[in-house]
Amino acid sequence: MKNILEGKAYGICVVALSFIVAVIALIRYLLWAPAHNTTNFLVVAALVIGIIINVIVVFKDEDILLVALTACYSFAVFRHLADQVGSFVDAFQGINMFGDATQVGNIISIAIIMGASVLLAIISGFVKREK
Amino acid sequence: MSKHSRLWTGMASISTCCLVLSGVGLNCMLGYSGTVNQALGITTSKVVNEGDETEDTTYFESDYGELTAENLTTLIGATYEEAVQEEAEGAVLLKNDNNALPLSDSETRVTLFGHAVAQPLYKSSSAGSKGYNSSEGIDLYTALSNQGFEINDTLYDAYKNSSTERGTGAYDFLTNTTSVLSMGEEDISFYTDDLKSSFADYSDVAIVMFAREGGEGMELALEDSFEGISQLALHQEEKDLLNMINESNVFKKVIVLINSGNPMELEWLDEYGVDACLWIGEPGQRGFEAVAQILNGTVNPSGALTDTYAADSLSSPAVVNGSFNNQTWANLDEVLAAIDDDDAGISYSTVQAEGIYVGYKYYETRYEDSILNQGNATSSVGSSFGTEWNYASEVTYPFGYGLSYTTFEKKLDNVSINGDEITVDVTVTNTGDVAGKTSVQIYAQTPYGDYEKANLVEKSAIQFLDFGKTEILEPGESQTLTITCDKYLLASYDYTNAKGYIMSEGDYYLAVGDNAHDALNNVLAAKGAAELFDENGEVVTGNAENVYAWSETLDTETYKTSRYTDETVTNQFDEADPNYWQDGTVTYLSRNDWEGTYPTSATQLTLSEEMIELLAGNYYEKSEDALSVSDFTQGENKAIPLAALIGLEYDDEAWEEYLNQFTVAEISSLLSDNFGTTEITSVGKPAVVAGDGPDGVGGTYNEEKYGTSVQDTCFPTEIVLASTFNKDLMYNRGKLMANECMYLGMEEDWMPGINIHRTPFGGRNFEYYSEDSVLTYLCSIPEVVAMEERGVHAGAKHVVGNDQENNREGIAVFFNEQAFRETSLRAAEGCIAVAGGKALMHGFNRLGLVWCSESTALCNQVIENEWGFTGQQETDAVAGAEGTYKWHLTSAIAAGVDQFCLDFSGSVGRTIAAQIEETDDGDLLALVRKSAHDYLYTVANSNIMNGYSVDSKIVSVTPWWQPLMIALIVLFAALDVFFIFMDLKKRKTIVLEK
Repeated sequence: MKNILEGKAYGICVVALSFIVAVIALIRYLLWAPAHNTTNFLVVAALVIGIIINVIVVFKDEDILLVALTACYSFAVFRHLADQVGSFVDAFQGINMFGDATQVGNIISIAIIMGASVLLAIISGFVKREK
Repeated sequence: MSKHSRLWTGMASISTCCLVLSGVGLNCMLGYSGTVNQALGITTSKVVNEGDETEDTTYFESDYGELTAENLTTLIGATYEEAVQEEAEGAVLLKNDNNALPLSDSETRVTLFGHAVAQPLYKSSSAGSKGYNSSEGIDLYTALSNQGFEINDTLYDAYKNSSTERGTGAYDFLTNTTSVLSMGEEDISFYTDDLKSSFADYSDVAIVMFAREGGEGMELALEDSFEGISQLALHQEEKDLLNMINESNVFKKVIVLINSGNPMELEWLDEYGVDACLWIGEPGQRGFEAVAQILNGTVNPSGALTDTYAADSLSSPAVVNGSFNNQTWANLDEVLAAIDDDDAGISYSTVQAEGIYVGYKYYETRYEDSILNQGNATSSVGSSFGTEWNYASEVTYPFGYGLSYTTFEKKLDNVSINGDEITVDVTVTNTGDVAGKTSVQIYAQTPYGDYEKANLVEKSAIQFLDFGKTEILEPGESQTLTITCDKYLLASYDYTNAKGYIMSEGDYYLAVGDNAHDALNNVLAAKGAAELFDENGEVVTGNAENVYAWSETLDTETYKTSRYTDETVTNQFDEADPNYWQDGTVTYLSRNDWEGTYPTSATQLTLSEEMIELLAGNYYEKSEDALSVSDFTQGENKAIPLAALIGLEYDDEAWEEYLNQFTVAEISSLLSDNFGTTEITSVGKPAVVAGDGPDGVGGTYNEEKYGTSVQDTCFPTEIVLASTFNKDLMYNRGKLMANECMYLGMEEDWMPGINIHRTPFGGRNFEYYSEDSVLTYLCSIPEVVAMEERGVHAGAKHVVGNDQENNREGIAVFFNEQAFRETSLRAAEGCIAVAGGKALMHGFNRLGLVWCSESTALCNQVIENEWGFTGQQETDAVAGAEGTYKWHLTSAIAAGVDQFCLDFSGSVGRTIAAQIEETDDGDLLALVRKSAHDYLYTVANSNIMNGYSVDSKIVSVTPWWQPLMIALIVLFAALDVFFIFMDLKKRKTIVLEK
C-alpha cells in the first residue's frame, strides 16, 4: 500500500472515491434493474469498464484514461436516465402506462450515485494526483 | 513535478461528459421523435405540388372555412360555448328541498367550503387536453364572480394558501405512494375562530364542494387507508365540516356540489341539513361557468344520472370480484414458473360473477322480484345492512334520475313497431313555472320465462332502450318527441342453448319514465303489481298509461345472422367462462335465486396446464407450408403516392400494387405507432399525427400559423356529456373535436371511451359514459359519426372489457358470453359497427386467458367478421413492453392488430422485419401487409390527405432540434479533441522541461 501511494498527491483520493462510488452505483443498479426487468447491459458494461479504468488510474495515472472513465460513467448515467423516460412521463402525467412511476425515486437515487461518480471523475482531472 | 496538465484534463473530462450527454440525448430524442415533434408542434413532412395547381385537393372541409387564424378563433369560441352548454345540460340536480335553488337575486353573498373549491377537479388524470391548467381555464370562484356572486375571500384564500392537497395520481417521491389516496380535505382545526368570524358577512349561502378523484391506472379505494371505508363515502373531515357549517347557524342555505366522475354515497344529505345538491361531474376547462349559471337560475338543470347512486357502493355485486378484489391464481407459483413473461401481466384475474347485473340492472331487477315476491329477492344475502334486502335502503338515486327547477308531464302517445324499428311518440309538457328542458328516457322489459330460466338467459327487469331531449319549453308549453328505438337491442344472448341472440317468447313492455326506477314502476303498474315504492321508500302507484305492451314468439334466427354482415353470430368466448374448464367453478348471479347465486366472496381460480398454455400466449407459429418472402413483391417502386388511393374501396386491386412498393423494413415500420407515424417519402406517405383523448384531443395550436398557441379545449368529461341525454350535443362535440384535429394536423383521435362503469370505483369512469351498455352504445354514435364525416377517425378505446384500472395490464377477465355480449361488446358495438368508426384501440386486459390484442375471436371474428369493421386496430400502449405479455407481437398481428401503440423507438417494426427476413416467413409478411393495408386505408381516407394529389411529392422536413443536437455533438467533440490535444501538448512540454 505504501508503495502504491508513494508519489501520489491528495487528488488520488478523489480518484479512489470515484471508484468506490461507481462500485456502489453498479451494485445498486444490479440490485434494482433486474428486479424491474429493465437491465440495460450497456449501462452495466459502461460501469464495469469505467471501474476497471478507474482502478488502473489509481495505479498508473494517465490523463487520457481519466477522460475515458469520465466517458464511461457519463454514458452509464445518461443511458440509465434515457432508459427510464417512460417512468418519468408517468410520474409527471400521474398515470401508469409507459413505465413505472413508483420507481422514479429509485431511478433518481441510482442516477444521483452514478452522477456523483461522474462528478468525482471530472474533479479528479482538475486536482493534483501525483507529487 | 507532476507530468500532468490538470486544467486540460479536467476540461477534456467536462467536454466528454457533455459529448456523451448530447449523444445519448439525441439517441433518446430520436427514439421519442414523434412525441418530441408533437410537443414542439413540428410536422416532419410537407407537400410539394407539381401538377395542376387549380385541382381541388380538399377532401374534407372544416366547418369553419379555410384553416386560418380568424376561423380558428371562431372555432375556439364555439368549443367554449359547447363546453358550457354540455355542463349546463349535464349537471344533475339531485336534491332541492323547498326550492333552495335557484338562488334569488338577493342571495349573492356566499362562502365556499371544501378544499375542492381551491383545487377543483376539472378532469382526472389521463390523456388529452390539459387546457384547464391554462389561462383559458375557469374555476368555480371565477365563474361565480363573473355571475355577480360576492365570495368570502378570507376562507377562500385560506384554502388557497393551505398545504393540504387532494391526490392527483401523481407519484409522491417522499411517501413512495401515489397521491390519489389523499382525500385532500381540511382537518376541522383548519377553521380557526378568525376564519369562522368571516362567515357572517357571507352567509346567504354555504356552497360546499366535495371531490373524488381517480385517474388512469388509479382505481378508487374500496377501503381507504384513512378510515378503512370506501373512498366514495363521506369522510370524517367532511362530516366535521358539515357539522361546523350547521353549528355556525349563520347560513340560510347549504348547497353541496359533487365534483366527481364516480358516484359518491349521498345518503347523508338529509342528515347534515343540506338544502340542495348538484352533481357537476368533472366539468373540464369551461364547465364551471354553467355551474354558476345553474346556481343563480340563468340555466335550468336538465341532466340525468348515467349511474346508480347506491347508499353503499360496496353493495354492487360487481365489486365482489372487481376493482381491488381481483385475485391471483391459486397456483400462482406454478403459473409464474411456467411463463417467461413479466409477473404482473400474468398474475391477476377477475370473474364477472354478476353476469348481466351491472348497475341498475341489479338493483331494479331485484326490486321487481322483491315486489313480486320471487327469486328470494328479499333475502339478506347481498343486503348492505344484514337485514332483509330493501331497494329504498340500497339506492339513493336511481339511474336516469335528475330534478329540474320546473316540473314536466311526459305522456306516451303512440308506439308503432315496424321490423326492427320501434317508433315512440312522447309528448312533454312543462307543468311548472319556469322554462326548461328535460330528457325523455325510453325503457323496456323483456320476458323472463321458463325458456330463459332453463337456459340461463338472464333478464334485467328494466333496460334502457333510447332517449331524446326536448327544446327549452316555456311554462305550459308542450313538445312531442318521436324517438326511433332499435328492437335489436331487446334481444338477449342465449349462450347455452341457441348460442346466439334470441327474442324471448312472451310479453314485452316499453315504458317512459323519469328514471329507471320510475319506468319499472310504470311497468309493474301495467302488470297489476301493488305496493310499489320509490327510492325514498314512498308509496307510489306507477303510471300504466306510460307503458306499451306487446307479445313476441320465440325467435332464435333473426339475430343469429349479423345485421352488419352475413356472418353467423354465435359463441366465441366459451373459454372465457371458468365453467368451460371446470363445471361449477362459478355461480353466476341469477334472478331465479338471488339468495343462492349472489356472489359472497371473490372467486379464485386454479389454472390447469392447458389454461397456463393459453395464458402464456404467443400462439403464432410459422407453418410448415408457409409462403416465402419471395412469393411477394416488395420494393417495386412505381412512384404511386398514397394520394392515388384516396376514395378507393378497401378491396381495390390498386392497393396491392401500392403495397408492393414498400420494402419489408418500410412496411413493417408501420406497425410502430408513436402518436402517429413518420413519412415514407418513397411511397408518398405523409407523416401522420394522432390525438388522444375523449374530452379533448390534446394539442397546442401553431402560433406561427394561427397566431395562438392555446391548447385545444378540454370539454366536460364524457360522463357529463352522457348525462345531458342530448344527442345533438354529442354530435356537436364530435364535430368540434374533428375541427380541432384539422387545425392540429391530426388524422385521428383516440376517443370515445367505451368501457362501462362496472363498479363505482373505476378510475376512468369519468371518461366513460355510463354503467349501462346501451346508453354507451347510443352516446358514442353521434360523436363518432360527426368525427368520421369530417375525415377524422374516432378510435374507440379500450376494446373491450377494460372496466377497471386496478391490475388493468394483463388482468384475466372471466365472464359468460351473455354478459359479455350484452354488456362489454354492446358498449363498443355502437361506435364501431353502427357509426362506422375506422379505428379502435384494444384493452390491456385479457378475455378469459387471452390478451384482447391476441384474441382472434375478438379482433377477427367479432370486430371484422360480425361487425364488418375495416380500419385500424391498435393495441394499448406497449412502451417498455419487452418481456411482458404485450410483446407477443406475431400472434397479435395474426389476430388482427395493425399497430402497436406508443412503440416510441420503433422496435416492433424492426423486430418483425428481422423475423420475416430471418425466417423467410411469407405468411407473416402477408399479415404485415394486411396490417399496413388497414392502416393506410384509414390514412388515405382522412383529412390528413387534404392538399395532396397524385402529383404531390412528400418531402421530409428535418425538425430543427436534430441539427441543433448534431451541432452540439460536433462542438463538444471538437472541444474534446482540442482539450486532449492541449493536454498532450502540455504534457510534452512538462516532460521536456523535466
